[in-house]
Amino acid sequence: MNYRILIVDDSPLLRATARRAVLQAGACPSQIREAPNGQEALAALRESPADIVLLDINMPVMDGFQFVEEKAKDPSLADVRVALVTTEGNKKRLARMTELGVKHYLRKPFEPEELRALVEDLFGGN
Amino acid sequence: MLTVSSDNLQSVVTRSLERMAFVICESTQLTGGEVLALANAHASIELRGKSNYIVTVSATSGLIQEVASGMMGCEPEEIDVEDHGRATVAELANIFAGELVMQLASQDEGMLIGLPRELDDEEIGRFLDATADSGHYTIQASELGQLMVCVIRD
Repeated sequence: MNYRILIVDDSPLLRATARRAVLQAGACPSQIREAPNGQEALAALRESPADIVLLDINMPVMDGFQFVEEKAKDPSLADVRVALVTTEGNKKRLARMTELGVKHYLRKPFEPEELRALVEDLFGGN
Repeated sequence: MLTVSSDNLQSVVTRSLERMAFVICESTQLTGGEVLALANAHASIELRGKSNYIVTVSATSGLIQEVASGMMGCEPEEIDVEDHGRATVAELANIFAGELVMQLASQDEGMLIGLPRELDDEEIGRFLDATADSGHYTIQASELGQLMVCVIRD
């Protein structure tokens, strides 16, 4: 199956790393797009949906928490799955993300293989 | 009080570099001033909570190339430090800050990480002076370069 994926991170280095992991996972996404913050990510999704979002938390303009809150208010984005890839480790804030439907989480620093495994899980529909 | 010591700061730095980029580091006899003179990029990041801290990261071109290439899966010489230096050091600051917050979380549960900020040579010199007065630091050498990470109570 083909998937459309959106990588949201203010770090171009992390976006490049995530792009590589997606390609190495062998899932052949039909589209990989990137956004540097939550606001641009929401705009990108409303213009053209994605199936999966790899989301950083700590970003300028609109952070990952705000992105998830805004996404949850928009029924047109209900099918978009979100995975957090972040330095955030605060249990209360992460629990709130779980309440809003975020089921996948990978904390930085991660090994490249862990990111590939996350992507494989997401592509596998887990 | 900050419970992060220079020893566990060193552990955070070396473990993070190995996990993220397969870069193996060890302590070096270089001084902070010597590393700053060699460094190509500097960044800082704030930790805000009941107590506030600033983490700074300075890295040489060789270390930047090793880290960025390790993360992106290419050869170090393929990394243009002018293009990737600032982003690499900023991301390292973010990752080290996240690890330090995990260590401090039990005593400062509400701690927040700010956004990484690029520092110029003058600013990083001031941070180095402040670290000497009341902070912790670690200086590490990899195969191709050096890195200094400081933590200062703000």
